[in-house]
Amino acid sequence: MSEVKKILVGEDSSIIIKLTRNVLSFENYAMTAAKNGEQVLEILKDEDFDLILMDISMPVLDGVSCTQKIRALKDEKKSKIPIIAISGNIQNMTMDDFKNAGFNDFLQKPLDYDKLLATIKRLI
Amino acid sequence: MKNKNVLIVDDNDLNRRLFENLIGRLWEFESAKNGLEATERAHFKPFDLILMDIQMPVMDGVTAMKKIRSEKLATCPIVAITAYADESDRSYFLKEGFDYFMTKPIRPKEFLNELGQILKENEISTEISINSIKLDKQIFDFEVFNSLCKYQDRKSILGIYREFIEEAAGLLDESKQDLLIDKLTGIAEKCHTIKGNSGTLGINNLYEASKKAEGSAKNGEWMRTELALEDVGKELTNFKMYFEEVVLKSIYE
Repeated sequence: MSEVKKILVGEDSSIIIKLTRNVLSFENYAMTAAKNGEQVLEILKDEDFDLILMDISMPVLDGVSCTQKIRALKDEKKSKIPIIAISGNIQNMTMDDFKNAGFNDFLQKPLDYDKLLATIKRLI
Repeated sequence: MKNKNVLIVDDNDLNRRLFENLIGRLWEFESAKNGLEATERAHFKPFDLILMDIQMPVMDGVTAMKKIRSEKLATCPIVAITAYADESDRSYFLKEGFDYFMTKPIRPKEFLNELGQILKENEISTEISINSIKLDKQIFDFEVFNSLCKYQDRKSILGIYREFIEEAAGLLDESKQDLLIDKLTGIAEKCHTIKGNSGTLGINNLYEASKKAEGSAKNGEWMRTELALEDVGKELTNFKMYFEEVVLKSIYE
């Protein structure tokens, strides 16, 4: 019997948060929402997660900068947490760009929820 | 039939060029030299058909097909094409998971006919009739709605759509206020939100309109932004009416 996995989602759209929460609970993942990159870091300070879903374009602190900060954390376990980028515009980017930015994988918006679950399963 | 996009996967340069020349006559295409490249391309872009050679270095066709299916990188038909098998191997490849099977060497005319047939069969209809009401995919993509309903009940999804309409109306009003005081950056942010949410919910015309408004606000073009916001308002009203009349009626009847 595997324990419940915890997923932290950085996303400024409350609608995507709602939809994602329902999808994740389908697979028994516990979800915590953060409105921007700063909140993600705040929450991560006190809690551990199995994976982070990070929207690239968030206000205050965007997804790429937030991921850079996570990868630079002193806590080794936290710095290595799997992070999936969610992006609405990947026209000029390649897989290498995402990997170099510190992401383990990426998903395009609008989200394909089947693909989201499959991608998460591969990482945790 | 709007133009289709085919992914050609073959390690042999000559074969690839042959396929490109034929397929390029009718459709758009991209090429990959092995199974691994194929999975990467599929991850990045939706294709309408993948033509997969079997014997390839780095990653062979069967492995690549299985990876694409298990990781949900593509849902389009995958056609196995090989010179090392004959018709009696058809059931083997179909059992492995391929949707169709072809042998090399190909006969150009037959090859194109067969691909055309496959593409036509697998075309997702842009017109869905429910209770004989024809739905307009550009105003509202019912397929998106259905896929969202896979993971949550209809009622809560409808609630989310209603919530979106309210939120968008509010953001639009605020944007109009921003326009009066020349606060274009505020408008760009709000339209970015409307754009993202309408994209997620399959409200295509509204997505396009808010994308335009976000663009002109970012470029500091006051007049263009004013016009674009009017369009956003029109599309939101259209969707609202459409949603109430068509969707709610067709779901509950």
